[in-house]
Amino acid sequence: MKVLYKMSLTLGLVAVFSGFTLTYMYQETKSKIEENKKKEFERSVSILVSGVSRNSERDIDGYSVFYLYDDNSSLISYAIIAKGNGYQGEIKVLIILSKDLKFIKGIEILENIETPGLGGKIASLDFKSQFKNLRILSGIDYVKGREPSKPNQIQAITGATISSSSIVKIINLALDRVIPRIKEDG
Amino acid sequence: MDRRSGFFEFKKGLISQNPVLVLLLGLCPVLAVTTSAINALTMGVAVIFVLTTSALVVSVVKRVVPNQVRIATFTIIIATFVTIADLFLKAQFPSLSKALGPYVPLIVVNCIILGRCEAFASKNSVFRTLLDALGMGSGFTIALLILGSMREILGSGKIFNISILGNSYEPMLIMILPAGAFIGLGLMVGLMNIITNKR
Repeated sequence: MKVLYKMSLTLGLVAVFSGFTLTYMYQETKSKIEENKKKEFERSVSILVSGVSRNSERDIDGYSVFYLYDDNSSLISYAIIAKGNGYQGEIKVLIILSKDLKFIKGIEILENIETPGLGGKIASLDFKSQFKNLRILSGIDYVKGREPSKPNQIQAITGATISSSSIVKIINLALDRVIPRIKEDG
Repeated sequence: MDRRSGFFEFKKGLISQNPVLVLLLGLCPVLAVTTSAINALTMGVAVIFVLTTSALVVSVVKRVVPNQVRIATFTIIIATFVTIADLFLKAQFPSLSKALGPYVPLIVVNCIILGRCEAFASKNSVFRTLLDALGMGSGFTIALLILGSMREILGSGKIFNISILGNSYEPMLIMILPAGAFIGLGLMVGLMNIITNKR
């Protein structure tokens, strides 16, 4: 019996101590981590659209949608943060739409844990730049191993078709849900 | 055991008992994060931090922890320090943290750390534990750095993101891919065997 008490006590103490340490560390770093995420978001937006001075966030069907305004408070484009499953885990994509909602202005991969060197290339400039000024014709599409022939197609990364198609799926789902609602609201 | 000098405890981790090249422990992060030298270095430093701090704590509490729950206790201690390292990287070095992805949290299951806690820290004095942990951590970091530099130079013609082989160099893509990690590690382990056999 004595050993049992000692075991429970030791584990309990270690766990409590660990809990306190981590709570403290979490509190200390929380604001910095959130600030980093915000900076990353603003940096990503500024690469894809220039002249954004203000944004207002809205929640549409679980997606964070940002209305981006310029200096004169006129709307210049929309930004959507979409999440979905990739090959190894969640991928978080920032999608910038044109004002008329007919084009994707560009995308940025905010978070991914795809295989480094293969699926990880979704975050490379070569892949992302394919989405620049991509037409939205009942969504977007991907092709494998050849040049895209339609204005709404991108070429999947060789050896990382699942990662590439996941991005396309995530974007299509987000566009499906969000665009009608933006149009409804005028 | 105690007759061995403190310096021996530090030195053994570098060559004769190098955790990566001789003991072949913790190979998952070794193979996964060594796509570039900076990733390898960050991972190495994170492991040195976690290994040293958890081994020290284990060495301090070794007498009060009952034998039956020692592994569980060690795991909680290690997990605590790993989470601290992960939060710190996320707050201070977001781009590096992004590049390492899940491999920082995965240090929890790195067998070098539990292995050193169980095999060394729980049986030796705090001072010896410190030297052992620093030596093992440095050995791990050096191996990672060599492999990471080799893969980055051959696979993208750069080192620490600075181009050194010029534009005419055609990168050997395979060195960046997982196969390149196995080839590089195999060559390094082989070289290590040649060196140790000569002695």
